[in-house]
Amino acid sequence: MVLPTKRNLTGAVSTVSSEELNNFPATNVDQALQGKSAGIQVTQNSGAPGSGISVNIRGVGSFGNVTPLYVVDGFPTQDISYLNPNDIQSISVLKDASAGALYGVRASNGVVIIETKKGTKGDMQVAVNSWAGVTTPPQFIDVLNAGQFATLANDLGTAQGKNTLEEWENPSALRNVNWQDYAFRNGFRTGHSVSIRGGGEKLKAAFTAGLLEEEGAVIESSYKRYNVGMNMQFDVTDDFSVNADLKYAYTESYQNLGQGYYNLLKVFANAPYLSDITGTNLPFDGNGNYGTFTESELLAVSSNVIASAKRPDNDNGRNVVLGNFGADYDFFDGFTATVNFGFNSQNYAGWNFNPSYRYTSQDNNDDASYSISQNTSNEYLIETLLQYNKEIGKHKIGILAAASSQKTKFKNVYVNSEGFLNNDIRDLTQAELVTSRSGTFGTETLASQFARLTYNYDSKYYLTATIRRDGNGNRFGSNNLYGTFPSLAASWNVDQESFMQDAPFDLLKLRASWGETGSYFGIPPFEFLGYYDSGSTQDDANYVLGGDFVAGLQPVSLANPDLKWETQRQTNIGVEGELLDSRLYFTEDWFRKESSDFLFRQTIPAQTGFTQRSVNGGNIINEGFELLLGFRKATGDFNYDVSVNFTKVKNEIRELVGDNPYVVFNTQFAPGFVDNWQGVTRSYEGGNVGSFFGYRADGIFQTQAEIDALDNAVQDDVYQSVDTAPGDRKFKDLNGDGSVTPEDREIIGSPVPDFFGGLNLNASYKNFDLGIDIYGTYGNDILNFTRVEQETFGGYGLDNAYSNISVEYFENRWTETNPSNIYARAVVADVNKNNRASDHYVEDGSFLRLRNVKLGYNLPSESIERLGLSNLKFYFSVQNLVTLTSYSGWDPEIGQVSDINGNSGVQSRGIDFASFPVTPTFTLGVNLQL
Amino acid sequence: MKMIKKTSARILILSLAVFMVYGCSDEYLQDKKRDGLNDQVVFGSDETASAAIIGIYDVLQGSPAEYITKAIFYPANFLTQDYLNIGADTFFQTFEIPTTFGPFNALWTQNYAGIGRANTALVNLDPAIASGNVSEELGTRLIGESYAMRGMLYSVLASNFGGVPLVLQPAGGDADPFAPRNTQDEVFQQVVLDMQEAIKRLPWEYDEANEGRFTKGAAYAYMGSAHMWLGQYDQAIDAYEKMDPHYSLEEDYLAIHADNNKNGKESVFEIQMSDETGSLSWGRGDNVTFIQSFSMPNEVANGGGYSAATKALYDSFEDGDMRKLFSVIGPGDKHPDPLISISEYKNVQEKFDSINTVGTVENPWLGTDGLPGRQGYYSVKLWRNPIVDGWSGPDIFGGQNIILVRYGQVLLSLAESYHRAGNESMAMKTLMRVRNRAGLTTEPTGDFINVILDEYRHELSGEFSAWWLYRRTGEHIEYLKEIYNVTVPNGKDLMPIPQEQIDANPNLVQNPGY
Repeated sequence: MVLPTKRNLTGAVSTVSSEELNNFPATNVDQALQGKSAGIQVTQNSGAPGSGISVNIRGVGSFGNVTPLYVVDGFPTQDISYLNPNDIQSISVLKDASAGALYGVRASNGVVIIETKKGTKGDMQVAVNSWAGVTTPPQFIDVLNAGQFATLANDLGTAQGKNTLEEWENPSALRNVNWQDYAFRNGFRTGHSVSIRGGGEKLKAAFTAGLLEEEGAVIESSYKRYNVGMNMQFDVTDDFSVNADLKYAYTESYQNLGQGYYNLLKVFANAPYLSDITGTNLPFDGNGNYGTFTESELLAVSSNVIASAKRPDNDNGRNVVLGNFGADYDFFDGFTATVNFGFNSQNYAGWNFNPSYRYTSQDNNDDASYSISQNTSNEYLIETLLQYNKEIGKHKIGILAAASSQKTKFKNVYVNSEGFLNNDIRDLTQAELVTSRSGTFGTETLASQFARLTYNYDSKYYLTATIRRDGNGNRFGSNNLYGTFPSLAASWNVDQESFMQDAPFDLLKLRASWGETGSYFGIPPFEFLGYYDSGSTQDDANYVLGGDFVAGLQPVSLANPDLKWETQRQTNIGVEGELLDSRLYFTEDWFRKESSDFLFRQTIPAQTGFTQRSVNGGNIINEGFELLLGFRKATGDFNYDVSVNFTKVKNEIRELVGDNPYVVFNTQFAPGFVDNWQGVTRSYEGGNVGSFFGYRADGIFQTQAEIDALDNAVQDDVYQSVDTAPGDRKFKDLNGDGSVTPEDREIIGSPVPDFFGGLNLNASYKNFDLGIDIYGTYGNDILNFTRVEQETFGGYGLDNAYSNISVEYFENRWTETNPSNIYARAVVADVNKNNRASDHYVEDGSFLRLRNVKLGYNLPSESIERLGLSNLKFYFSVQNLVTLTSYSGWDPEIGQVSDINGNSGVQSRGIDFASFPVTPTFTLGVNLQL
Repeated sequence: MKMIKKTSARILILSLAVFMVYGCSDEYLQDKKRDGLNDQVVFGSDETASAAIIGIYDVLQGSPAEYITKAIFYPANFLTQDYLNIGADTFFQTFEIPTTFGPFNALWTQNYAGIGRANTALVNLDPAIASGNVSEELGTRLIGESYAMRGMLYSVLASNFGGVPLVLQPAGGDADPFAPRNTQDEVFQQVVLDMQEAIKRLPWEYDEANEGRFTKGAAYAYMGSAHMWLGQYDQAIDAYEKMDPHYSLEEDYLAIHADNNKNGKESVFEIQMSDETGSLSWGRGDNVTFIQSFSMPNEVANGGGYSAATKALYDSFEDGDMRKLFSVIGPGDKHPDPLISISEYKNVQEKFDSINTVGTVENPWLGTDGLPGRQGYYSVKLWRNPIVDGWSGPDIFGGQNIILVRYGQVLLSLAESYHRAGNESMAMKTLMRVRNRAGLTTEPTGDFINVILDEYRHELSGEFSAWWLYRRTGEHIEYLKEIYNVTVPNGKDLMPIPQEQIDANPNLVQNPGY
């Protein structure tokens, strides 16, 4: 339910209430926000329990970090994964520059204000919320079974002059393994929360506790969180009040089977059977035994990823303590002084042991490895505010002056070691060798001063002006420590005018704002300095002289002393209204957000001695339109509130620094020896951030004559490859030089949607209530790397290995009798590079998802009062039951992905690298109130 | 009571306001970086400045597979057609190297990283010496090493790619990060200049603890070669002749690459490696090389054997040339190194009846992995370290040094220079020094350039220079046509500029033909 619009707000703000959030049994708060508010795009990066979520307010304004700032009970932070969604009272999203100005330093990506539950005056309220659910595996993508695979391998290998395995001659003897069966399971999740709230004249208090345990639909993935929270508000005197808030959370998170080429993607690529070498021909026999593949180079790309996920022994835990203490003091006439002190203390410890074993020359780990990592951070915030409010007739004036500083101290240690006498040792001193280690400490500091002036006349005309000066201690040189950012906003409550008396509006308000906010997020710390280190174990700076190691130093960053604050300049014009006794309501905003001097790490020519450099990179504009439209009825037996929200953002890069009209993001989605999936995203001036870049497919060569004609037309007699044959994919010669070269790549798709939105319905009839949430995006593309594996019968990148393919491809691939113009022929060695990054793998990523359907029944009050309860409700809900999409993969909801080197960012969005799919979950729950 | 509270609250607020004023001072705000060292510190003492120069040498220990094996050994040998790639990189046989071939990007990136480190050192060392932070004697030598390494890294780039951008200033200042390519001649002219500066400052030899650093002799060798690329044979002769008192050939050709003869008397410049500590499995550090596992037959370690010699190379040695079996062995041949017994490898004992030869004439070793192309012949020079088990491990990587330049190569280059300069008698005399060591006493006849190409081939095949020496003669295309009947496609004797670099710098123009 949308709270009543506040007449006195001048900025663009959306509010989401706890009731709305609680409809969805979310693991974390961001997840619950999806589809709830215009202007906010929430994308679950993966369906793994407790995994990351991309939250994007009003488009991608930078190449760096685009995560908004969260302010949890007054404490600004970038990570809220430890919060229990059930503890949330309300969430306000501040979207324009003026609204966010008060939260300054990190407000440029938008601000999400989170208020947790507070004590209230009156009776004690005790609420218990418990739920349990089952998460189902995704819809499997059919791949060849052992018999089909062996037959095809034998036939193709023989026909193409490649080696084959003897076992393929007798396919029926092979025991089929569908790797998806072993990678997925029914996940189980359960959550319990208790809150006790109450208070009197002088003291109001709230206590909350929560427990969440979740096992994902992917094996060996789980998440646990325990929360406790306390809040107390003391009214010491009439004019002096103190607020104290303390939260604790403990989390554990495991994800042994990762996404991507070496992990989950193998469920498509692996040969669909195993050998008997280890005594079992199953990936995992339930008794601690793992199968392995026949020892042969021909199966070199197959790997028992189920064993790799189950074999390691690991443990981790994170403690988070968040505290906030504030005092307000009213003095003289209209003055208020406020002091806030907050801290966020986190520590993490984890270890991982990878045992040694040797099955074959291809499936072994000769040296057990043991790693330990530990880090702590202590962050504290001090804020002082002085306010003056004065009313003179119809004039209301407010002045605020404030200063804040925030400092984080961190320490970290990491050690990886290898070589242990047996696999039971968990002791670093027993290691033969420390293979890598790191450890340091440091600080990160922010300091700001800001002032705000508010004025309103007769509750009709409002004006807000803000100015702030922000300092950051580790991103900029001493000349550019500070940035100054002004903003201005005005609003007019049109409905209050006398000429509007007969108009049907219960509320009509026009808003306009302009403002600047600063950001330093896009770059790592200390890039304004040039510094040296001694490298890592696998690539150290040491050398050998006279047979002995000699210490070396290598420069690790290219200093850029001119780095300065990134400025986001945003203009917002909005209108809000309510009609028909406030039953019909709407909010509409138009915005233009310009990120100038945005900060990012730019890929630079390696001839500089470096491959990346932090720069103020240019200019990005996000221009868009948001609409919220709802209709509600709050009287009688039948109540409802239905609303739709819609957001359209146009993302355009206006200007880039340097000689290149584009930015390359160096990603690698397959190992180094595979060279046709590198640098698959580019960001061009005039285009979107992180667009897909590749070749244009132009059907399939049907005849040799077709190939010869193209070959003969060009000087070197090669159009694509000397080995191109009928059945191979044809690519377009975009520059018209007669042959296909890297110059023939272009933008082939964009992960940026044309628009996205949601529909939310809450209805109740007598004791029943119903909630429905729908979320969708339209017009975004997905670059589907998983289909490369599904359409590659050879070992990807190798000339003499085999890997599995999808049934879809198998049945529709080009053969002499099936002249497909879409699917290329099956080959062991992909000489024509049919599977290079091309628009053949770009798919429409639009989807419409029934995120949540919740049906609840409130027991009649007569029957529960006897039990001493004030409310008892049972509910059943289903998440992600239906997803309408034309996308062929497991799941079209794909956020930022990491490549095999862990590179990830806004330039690597929308690439399906076999991330964990979001799948249907069935939940049963009970809410109980004393 | 209320008054007291008000007063105390005011005091509280005032004191906090004072704190905030302090809190916003620059001193409070500015964080300090605790990990790593900044460049003032690095060039502020002998120890750290030395370490920064070690960091230049370190680029030669790039990724063991990508750099030494695939970016240097591959073009140096596969392009001569005497060695074949077995696996996914067979395009070297047709000179159709993809512009996206990752190892060439690694070569480009690593060499320019080293050039950048040298540029930074060259800018910082003079002031560091002047201010007394770095001692003059050490600092002077470090400057010499920086020049020498920069020239050497440019020499490798230009040999492989042709002209590359000449970057001579540290990045970040006025240097244009998007500079276009210079010509090949301009690059080699710079190599000459750098080596001149290096020669002024470098010693002929080092004490044992510093063995492996760039010497005056190595600088003369690179300078001589650069002059040859420029067609300045008289200057090349001058440079090479300076080396004569300080270097000699190993009497025994087999000793050149012996595991216990690192930095031997014939060695001019070699990449220093070590297998003394650290893992030799996949978790290895970067002080090791992968190349032995690539060179050993597939049968020895149930994997590997991805760079294999040709029968044509084996058959091309003259009768009596003792370099033959010390370079390449084939069916029925034992390994000539007393440290290596084929019969002692576990896989040979289990699957090949513990034979002590690389297969037999009846059953040559062509690999058991199904990969086509092997002819049964394998490198001896890079299969010398008894610690290395081969591809399947456990010890996959080894510490054999990589000899980039040795005196045998210098003498052959000098012989070519004498010939070019018209001094045929010295040309033949110098050539015969190399042939004599190989057990050959007859003076070869015929076109001298062909003679010298044959000699480069038989002296240096399976090392790290052959193709580039061919290309330096300018007769490489005809020679390949003659010995292998291979036609090099137009322009493709130059390797492609890495696509990733063209993508990052639109001012780089690709070599013709790609």
